[in-house]
Amino acid sequence: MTDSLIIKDLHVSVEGQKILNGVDLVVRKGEICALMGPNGSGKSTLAYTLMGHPKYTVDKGEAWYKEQNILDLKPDERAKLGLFLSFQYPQEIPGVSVSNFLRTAYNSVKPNQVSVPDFVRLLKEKMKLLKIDDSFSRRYLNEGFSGGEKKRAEILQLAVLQPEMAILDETDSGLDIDSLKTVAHGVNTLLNPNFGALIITHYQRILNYITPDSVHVMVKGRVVKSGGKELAHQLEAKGYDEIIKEAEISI
Amino acid sequence: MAAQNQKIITKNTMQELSKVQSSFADETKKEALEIFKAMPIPKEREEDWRYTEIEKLKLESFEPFESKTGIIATKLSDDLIEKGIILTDINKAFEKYPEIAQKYFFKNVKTDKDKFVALNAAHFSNGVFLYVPKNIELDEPIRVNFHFGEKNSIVHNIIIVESNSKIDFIEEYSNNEISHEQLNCCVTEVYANQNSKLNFYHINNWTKNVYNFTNIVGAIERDAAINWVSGCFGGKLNRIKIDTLFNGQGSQANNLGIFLGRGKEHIDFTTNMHHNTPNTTNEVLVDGILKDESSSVYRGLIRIPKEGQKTYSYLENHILKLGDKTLANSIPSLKIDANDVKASHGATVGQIDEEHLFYLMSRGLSREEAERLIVEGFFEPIIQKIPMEELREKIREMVRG
Ligand SMILES: Nc1ncnc2c1ncn2[C@@H]1O[C@H](COP(=O)(O)OP(=O)(O)OP(=O)(O)O)[C@@H](O)[C@H]1O
Ligand SMILES: [Mg+2]
Repeated sequence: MTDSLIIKDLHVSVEGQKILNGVDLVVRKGEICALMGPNGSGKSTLAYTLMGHPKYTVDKGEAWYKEQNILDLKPDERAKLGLFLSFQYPQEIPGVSVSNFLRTAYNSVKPNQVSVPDFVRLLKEKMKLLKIDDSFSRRYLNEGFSGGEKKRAEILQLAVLQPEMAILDETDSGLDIDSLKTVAHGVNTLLNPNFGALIITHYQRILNYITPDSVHVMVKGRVVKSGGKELAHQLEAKGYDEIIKEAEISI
Repeated sequence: MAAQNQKIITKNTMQELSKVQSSFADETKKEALEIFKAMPIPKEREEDWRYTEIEKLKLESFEPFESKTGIIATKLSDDLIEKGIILTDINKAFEKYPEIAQKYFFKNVKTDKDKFVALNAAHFSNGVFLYVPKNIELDEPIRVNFHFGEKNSIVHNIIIVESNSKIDFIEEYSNNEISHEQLNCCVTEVYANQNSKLNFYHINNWTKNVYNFTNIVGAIERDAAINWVSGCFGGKLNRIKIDTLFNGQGSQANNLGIFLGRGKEHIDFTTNMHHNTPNTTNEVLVDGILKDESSSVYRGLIRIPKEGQKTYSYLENHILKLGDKTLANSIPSLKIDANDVKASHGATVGQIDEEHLFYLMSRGLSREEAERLIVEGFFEPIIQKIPMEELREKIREMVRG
């Protein structure tokens, strides 16, 4: 239980505006949770807050991981604990090559330093797994990458850094069908009893490749409904409105 | 024509340029001394000195100005000497090659426009004289290291590249860690004659009590090109001013400037491009980072008089400020009197992007590591433009500190 990510009654605001209104959610290690919900419902806000983005103010609540309330930690300390966020909109960092950055990151989160040749080998292997061209390792981080390439590069980082708890924020958006399969395959190779993931998505599609253990629906900054993987199918068939109505009735 | 392959850099393959006094320059020195004495210390309200405050600088406290400067330069092979290449101390050049030296000495540099040029003309004690005759292409760069020890240094250099020749010139300036204030004042005259090509690298790396005033004036003749690359690091006040005179049709220049301010350093960087003839091309890119409580001013002038039709001239300046205690000033300006030209300038002054920092930190990098990567990354595009790998790596090293 201690290696689960446990979110309790989380209230978050941005620039004075309340976005999350008491989120309760548990992502157990070894499990895949899907988080769905309409645009603007607060999914990315939750992801950023869990990773420690300075713009998001926690008004109330806790988030526990490995016996620590991670909300007190800096982003890099959270990464060192094993957390990872695949960004919905990854930043472009001029002049910083993918390989230089990833090696620095690897050496930061891993207890042992990796030699340059060993790292190059690891990076090559993961790039092959994700069908990313070798030339990308020399390119500047996300600069000039297409939308789909950025998402693939996020999963490359995930595969290289091998965190224990990953939040994937709409990694599937903007991917063509082949890319989606490749990315899903990459994520699936990471699955093991010590790995947990929160997959934020709008589409059932990715869940055909990565089977979720549970599906949660966020509306207006709260998780209003949870269920098994069939909930994702229902959402796709009926749309959020009906689910929201049902949820409102049940609240 | 290829130069003999020389292994340079290490001290034992370089020669110490000796200082010999000559009477040739005495007249110039005497005149300049009067001008120097009569000129007041520049005021901040003067265009060339805006945002640099030196009114309180007591120049007389640095006297005597003359002192022997340690200069170590590439030792020319017999082959190169036979071909007529001259690399020697400037005083020796006055004595041994008076015709060439007299022709170029203070040809384009005015002593009465700048107090520190006047100081230089009045008091220089040594410097480098490099003459490359026609039709010579060197595969190895000519290197000169100026090590200024603990005393003040006033050096005057002249670099002449004759028609159809092609060389790389690397000058590096440094000094010792000292507790008292030190004054360094350099003037370098550069002449790229018809259809020649010069890659000119200037790197300075001062300790924190140095006042440095560097003036470089380059004249580019028909179809010739100069690529300036300068890296400025350290010093209490580190001033560098590069004037480029496009004197012949088809002349070209590139001007890359990189500086990094730390502590309480002030960097004062000027590039003036004077497009005096038609069909000349220029690109200026000056990028700087300010850390701690450092400050900077960049002045970039593109001047195109009536004669300068069909000029292409482009200037850009980017400053990245780390922290609120840094101060950056950027004054790009265009003075254009010709009507058929393409010229533009742009300047940006920015802070480090918090979203970038968060992205990198979310992968486990500490704030310091993330900043370091962003700083190095900021310079990488300009470093990529440097035509020589050795210098690219050198600048990267200097940035890393
Ligand atoms: N910096 C900000 N300033 C003001 N409002 C913000 C800011 N960031 C987010 N918001 C608002 O918070 C709400 C939740 O945004 P969030 O990005 O978390 O939604 P989301 O569920 O991820 O949506 P999507 O499915 O479109 O990605 C939105 O109404 C958004 O406009
Ligand atoms: Mg979102």
